[in-house]
Amino acid sequence: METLGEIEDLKGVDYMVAIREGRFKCLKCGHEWDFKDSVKSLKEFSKETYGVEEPEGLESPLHFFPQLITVFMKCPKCGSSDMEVAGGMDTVIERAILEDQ
Amino acid sequence: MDLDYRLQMIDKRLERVEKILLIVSGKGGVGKSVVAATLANHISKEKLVGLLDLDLHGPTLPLLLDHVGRLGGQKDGVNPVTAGRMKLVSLGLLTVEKPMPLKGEVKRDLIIELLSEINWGKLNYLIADLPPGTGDEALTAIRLTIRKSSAILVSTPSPHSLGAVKRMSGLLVDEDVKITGLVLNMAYMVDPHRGVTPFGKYNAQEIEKKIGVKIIAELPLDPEIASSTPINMEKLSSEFHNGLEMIYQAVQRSI
Repeated sequence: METLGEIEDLKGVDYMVAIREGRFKCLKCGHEWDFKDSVKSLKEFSKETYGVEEPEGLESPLHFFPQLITVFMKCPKCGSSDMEVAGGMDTVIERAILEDQ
Repeated sequence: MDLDYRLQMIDKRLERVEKILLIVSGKGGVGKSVVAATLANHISKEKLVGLLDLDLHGPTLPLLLDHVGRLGGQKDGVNPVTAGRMKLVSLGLLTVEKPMPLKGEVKRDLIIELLSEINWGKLNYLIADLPPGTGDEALTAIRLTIRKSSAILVSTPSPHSLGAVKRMSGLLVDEDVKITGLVLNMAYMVDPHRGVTPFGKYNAQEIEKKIGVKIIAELPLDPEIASSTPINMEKLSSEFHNGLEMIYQAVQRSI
């Protein structure tokens, strides 16, 4: 939002922000689940790999490279690594209301 | 105006990078990462060098280089780790030995992320190890760095590899990328098998004619590379070092 606020054409714009939870879909068995269901396995991976339970916030590689989330997770139902992000990763402009000046 | 702010960030991140060398090949297994790692090491003796691993499925640079530190972020981006005199960024530093089952659009997105999030600081050369082939992620990297880049093609003298590298050189020409030259890797053996050409006899002039790109160096298949991780530069043959110097000279001529 701060970055957008610096762009001349977007100054004075009001934003309504809705946060959508990350959601995933297994491409092997079709199971869908929320990010919160995988937090435990992510912490385990982090401890095993980096020696800390969870690199928080900016320290986390997922903060800068969220696309890697599918590398660090497995389907909680069948254990497959073949999955896709079904929602909640990107920032999207859902609707823009323009007013005549 | 492009609403993907990352595309604007790329120019900012690369502002203090003087030159980008894209290490490319038509296919995998030709030693592209070895050329990238050793060339970066060679040039870093006198210049500021960064090394960016864009081979998303098989990031090997962390294995080839002795490095310290962990890739981590700060508010204004990701800082490279240190590998000898160089700065290094590779997703292999994060994923370690995990398989990386990444889909097409995600790969393109990751390339953009890697180019837009890294704080390189001042560099004379940023050497980018591209993924093999002419896929989406290679194309994305080529297009987003074109203002400062030139390409070094890597191939073995094998006809299969040369056929693939010809396709890659055609793509680079179509994309208006400056080509520094072609490196023939694993072209011959050094001691104790001196004189052996593992991919058969070849004629350099015929290869240049066929690919349409000048050969700037012929590197040997050095047993030291196959037997040690990380690579010990001091143990590499004089032929290998001479080859790296020839590549560097070609880079300097092309600027």
